[in-house]
Amino acid sequence: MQTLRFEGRGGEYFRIWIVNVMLTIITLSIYYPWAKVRTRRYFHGNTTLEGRSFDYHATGRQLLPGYLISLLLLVIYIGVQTAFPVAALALFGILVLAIPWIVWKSLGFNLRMTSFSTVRFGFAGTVGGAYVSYLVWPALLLLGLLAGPFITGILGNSGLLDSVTATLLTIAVMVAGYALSFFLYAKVKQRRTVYAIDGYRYGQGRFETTVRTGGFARILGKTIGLSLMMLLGVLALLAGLALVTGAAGDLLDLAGSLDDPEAVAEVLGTGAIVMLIAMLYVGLLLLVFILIAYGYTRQRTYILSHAALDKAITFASTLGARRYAWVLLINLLLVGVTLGLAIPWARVRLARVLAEHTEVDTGAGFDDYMSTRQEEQTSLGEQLGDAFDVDVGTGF
Amino acid sequence: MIRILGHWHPPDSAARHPGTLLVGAPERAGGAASFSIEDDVGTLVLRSETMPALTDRVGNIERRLSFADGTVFATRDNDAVDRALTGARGGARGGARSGTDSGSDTAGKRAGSGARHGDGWLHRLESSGRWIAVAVLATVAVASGLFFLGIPFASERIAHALPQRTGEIISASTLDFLDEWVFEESRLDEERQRAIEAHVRRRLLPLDARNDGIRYRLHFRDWTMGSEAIPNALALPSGDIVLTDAFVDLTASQDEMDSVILHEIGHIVERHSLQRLVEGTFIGVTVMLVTGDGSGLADLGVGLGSLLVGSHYSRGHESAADRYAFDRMLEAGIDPMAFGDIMARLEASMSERDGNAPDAHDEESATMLDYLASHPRSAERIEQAQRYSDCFERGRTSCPMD
Repeated sequence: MQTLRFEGRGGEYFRIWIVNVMLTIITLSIYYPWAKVRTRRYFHGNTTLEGRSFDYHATGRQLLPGYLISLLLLVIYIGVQTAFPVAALALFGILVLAIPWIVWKSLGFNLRMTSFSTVRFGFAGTVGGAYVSYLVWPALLLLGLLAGPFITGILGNSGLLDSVTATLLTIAVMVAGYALSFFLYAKVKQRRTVYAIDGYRYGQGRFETTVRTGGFARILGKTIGLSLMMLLGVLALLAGLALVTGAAGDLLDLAGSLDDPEAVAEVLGTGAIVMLIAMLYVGLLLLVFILIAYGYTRQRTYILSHAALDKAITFASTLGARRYAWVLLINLLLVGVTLGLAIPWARVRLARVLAEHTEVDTGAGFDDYMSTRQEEQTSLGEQLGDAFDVDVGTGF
Repeated sequence: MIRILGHWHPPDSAARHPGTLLVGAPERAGGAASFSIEDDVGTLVLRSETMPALTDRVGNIERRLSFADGTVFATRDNDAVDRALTGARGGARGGARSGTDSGSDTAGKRAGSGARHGDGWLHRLESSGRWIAVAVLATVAVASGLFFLGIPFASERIAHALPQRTGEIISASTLDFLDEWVFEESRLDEERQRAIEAHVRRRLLPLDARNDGIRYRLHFRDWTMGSEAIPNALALPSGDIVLTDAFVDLTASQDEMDSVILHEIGHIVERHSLQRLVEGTFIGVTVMLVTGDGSGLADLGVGLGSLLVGSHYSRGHESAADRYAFDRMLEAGIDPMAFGDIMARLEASMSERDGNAPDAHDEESATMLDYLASHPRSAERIEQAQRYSDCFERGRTSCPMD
């Protein structure tokens, strides 16, 4: 097993970043595509395996037309959203229909522009596949989520059932609806992962994945279980504290006197209750961080361990939830405290942690891989994905 | 002869072998430099007289030199590459043209064009401590300049370039919406309403000299929240001006009412709603671009920033509308102090509703939250009214700042 290395340094990237930001601002953002290329090349070039590095080959000039079109569309979108919120819904509908196409174009462009050890990656996924995994299955998931409330609404209004039967039926339908959504959510994750990874190419080599819906369902189930346990834990802890400090009485006073401003002010003035609310807030924030980190790292481990290049080169993730949550939290604090000036260090830190927790069993090695001839690509789809923040998860 | 240690890749191949690149100076001035690659036991792999395509220097990532036959030489010794190739480039301008048609080759061509244009200045910029300091200062200065001056200026121009019809379109259903959810029918008697309207048409509307086809309409509504009637006046970009019953009751004279209506006309004439819309679009796009660039962590900070800037803009609009009203009052021979009087009374009525002593609360919060307020502080506005009133008493028709 070999470990990926990231050799970038925060101070070094800060210089590149600040020059990028300055040039982007003084050119009224026209420089953005060149800045993006430089940033990508820095991060790709500093990621190495066995001394071989990645590289990004798109040029600013190549990205510029797609960028300008995306910028225009973004201006129209936000302008309409500000002036006619209702019409913006229609635009959102169009965006939803366009997302699979954007994902398809974006994956294709980015992979073809990326090389490892001078050999290019590629993407062989079809646009139809993108629509199945980014529109059809998510639409089914949405239906699953709405089915429970919808059916119970009809049952409740029909007046055909007596109240006991109606209540039992409502509960049954709700549970079934959520169980279905649970399964569909895992299915969406699985379809997207398969679509992306089975489409990846490296030179003449093909990636393959064996992820199953059940695997994602298990991770989702554990995440939900963990969130419930932690929520109960936080509440129990706070209830304990409230009793010990006597804030509980204040809380009851507060609940009983909400319509009397002076009484509320008096209770809040004692401080204990404010502390309690602040702690609840911080506690919940930490909880969200840990849950995001848990879900992400588990999925990463699952996907990487079920992916292979030509059945010979395999992958593994050793990134744990606690480590990842800690990195995210420190990064957030760093960036917040420095009003954004620490963004370069935050990005470098994240890239290093992700690389150093990625292992590759290089099997027979990379020496037999050769670049294959590829079509020229336009960058519009990729730029649209960037502008509209379409989440194109590549799994690495 | 410069020797550079690195690795070489056969054409199109991922295979990587240790090797040395030897760059020889041109044999005569203006002649071509010579390049040769040797493997680790000194066997010659390639010899070329044409300049290879070279990737740009970014930080200290590996540099790649792509030769005409597709062979790639890669090295981290960036300084040596710069030394060798700046010397060699003079004699071999535009030499990096290759004949094969593989993926890595197209990259070579592009990188080559970058090298020919000399993107080394970027790396020099990034390496110089002085330039980095300049970049930090310039970024902060230009970013705040754009936010505080550039965007408002551009928005004002754009708002005025749009036809007045735009204002009618964007507020077409606003009054209907407010009527359904916020307002009740006015309880003022018909006669009073008609008298006010006639007065406004006769005395105030002619003061709008610029008149770009705005169709003014006056509306009376009752606005009650809980058990409190809210005194307020508001303007829609279409030219609709709404006065609430509580506001009409609060005014002690026709002059006071006129001063507020002129303030609202100021908003309409100067197209403040449209400006805010355009500003909102600018800020929205900026936020999307900044956060789209990577970590969503910045979202929070940028959101807060645009909120602060947004209220800063709208406070500027209030002051501008005030000035518009004062100038028109001087023209029409109305004492601008009427505006100060009604502002003072409005504030007193609001403080009474909040159950606070009028002064203490204002003075304390003003310093801290000055920047958050969407309206200028009443004290400031009353001061301005006083200043204009002094001009009025001296019989002036304009009142420039000293």
